[in-house]
Amino acid sequence: MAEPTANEPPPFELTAEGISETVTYYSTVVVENFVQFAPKLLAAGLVLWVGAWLSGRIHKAVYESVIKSDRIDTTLGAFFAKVVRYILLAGVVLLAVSILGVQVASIFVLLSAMTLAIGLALQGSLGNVAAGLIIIVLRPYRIGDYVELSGEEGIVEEINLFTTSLRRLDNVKVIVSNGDVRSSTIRNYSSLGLRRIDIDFGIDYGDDISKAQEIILKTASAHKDVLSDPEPPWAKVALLNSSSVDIQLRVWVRWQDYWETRFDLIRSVKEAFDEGGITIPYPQAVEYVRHVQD
Amino acid sequence: MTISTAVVEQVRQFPNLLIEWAPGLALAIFILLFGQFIVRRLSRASIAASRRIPNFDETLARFVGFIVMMTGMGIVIVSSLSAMHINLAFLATVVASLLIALGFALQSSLGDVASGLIITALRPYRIGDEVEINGQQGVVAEIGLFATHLVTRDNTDIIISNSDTISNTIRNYSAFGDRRLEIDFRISYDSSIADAIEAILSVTRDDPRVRSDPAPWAKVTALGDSAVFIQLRVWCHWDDYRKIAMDLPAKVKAALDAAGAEIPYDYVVTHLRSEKEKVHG
Repeated sequence: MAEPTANEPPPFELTAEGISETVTYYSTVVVENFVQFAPKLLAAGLVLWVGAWLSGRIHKAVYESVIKSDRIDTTLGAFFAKVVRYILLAGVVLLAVSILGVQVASIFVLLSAMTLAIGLALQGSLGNVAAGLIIIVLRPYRIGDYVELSGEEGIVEEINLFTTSLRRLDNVKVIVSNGDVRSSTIRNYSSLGLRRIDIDFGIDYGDDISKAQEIILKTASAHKDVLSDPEPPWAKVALLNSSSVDIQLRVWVRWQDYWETRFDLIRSVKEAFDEGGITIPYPQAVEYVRHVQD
Repeated sequence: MTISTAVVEQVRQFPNLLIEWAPGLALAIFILLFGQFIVRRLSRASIAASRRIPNFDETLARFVGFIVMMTGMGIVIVSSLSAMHINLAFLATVVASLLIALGFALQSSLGDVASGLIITALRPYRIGDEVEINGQQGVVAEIGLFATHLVTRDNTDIIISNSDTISNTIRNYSAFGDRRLEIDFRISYDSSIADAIEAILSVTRDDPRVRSDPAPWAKVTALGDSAVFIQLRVWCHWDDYRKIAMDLPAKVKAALDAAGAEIPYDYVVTHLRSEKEKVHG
């Protein structure tokens, strides 16, 4: 019987002894291979296990720090944490596979090509993601702000990577892509706290301007939501219009009170005008009549 | 050496060759079988998981499964080939450049698919929602792999590509359940505002579809050229919106008539002067 550890396989002979020799030799080879392979398998398993545990811990740590930070949106933070976790896991799996002796280089080439293809597919959306990140960092508006984005007015309901959602005052949900938000003008009506209401009232050319001003100012000051700071109500002739003298009223209110106060003032000034004998004129035209003698 | 002895020699060598290759081959077959099993399970699981996501179309779910399957099988085949010590570098490069070329060729369609997945994930609208996308208003009938189908109230099927959908402003009228309906009414400057507002509000009280909380609202919103504008705002279920909008005007007209509030025409006050008075002749 040949030594089992011989490097050369015994010449194969079609006899009972020959077969048994060959079988013994190769079973030894298998066992040896296994013994050689076992540490690798063990190492790969260990890497996988530790890697999975570590990525879980890192995910948790990132998630918690993101939740605590008020600079980052919660949904976005959760998303980031997840992305970090999966990238780590993919790295761990590749490491384990490469320890087993599989060539990872080709997998990497394929993965990078796939990334490129996916990047091409997402080209448009990735622009939105970049815009979303800029919005989250620069904070031109926050959740709960009353804003105008890309021509749509409403209260900011949600900011995610791709879009910003608004709740319009008539309860319609408007979803604007972050790319659109960034490329057009943003109006934030609430970030400064107070807003000024400007209303034009047209009075007749024959009416007493100072009396009308007095009525307007008195009515405006009487409203409970009108503030005297930073400026008390203000009213001046702003325009000599085609059929009326236009007096502009300016009052300061909290941004939440803007619309209700505006509508209240329009009505109460109109009624105060009726009482005080000030008329709001209809459009006027002068027609000259030519009398032709027959 | 005769041919027959050469052949016999080769045949004698064959078992050795086989055995030399055996561990790699066994590993490759193992990876192939086991990997295929896992990939199939993964693909089926991802289809099942996708189906659980509301808004996820069956086509889209199957597509996700397909992508998982393809990617997984690619990895399995590559790993099993490299387990047999076949150098795959050249193959990987070829496949990679193919992928990039395909990516370029299918850029816009892949963009649609990607947008479809984003829509599915973000859910700006669901099937059955009343929406306005890209200026088109309708009820969402289908969210497909490449396009979203809207059906308009006059029964036109509108197909909007998913990239168009996500890159434009979407208005979802049904997302919050209730909507606020706004209708402007005009009354004469000489009519009583309080009476008119009372008349307008009284109409909404009879309508069971109008929500009592938030309560109907009516205020003067503008002093127009010829009329005082009163806006009525009522809250209702989004599906009642159109119906109420078509029911209220006639009822409000009757109520305003009964309350003696006038709905004026456009006025122009004309001052008649004879030509002699004209300053510049």
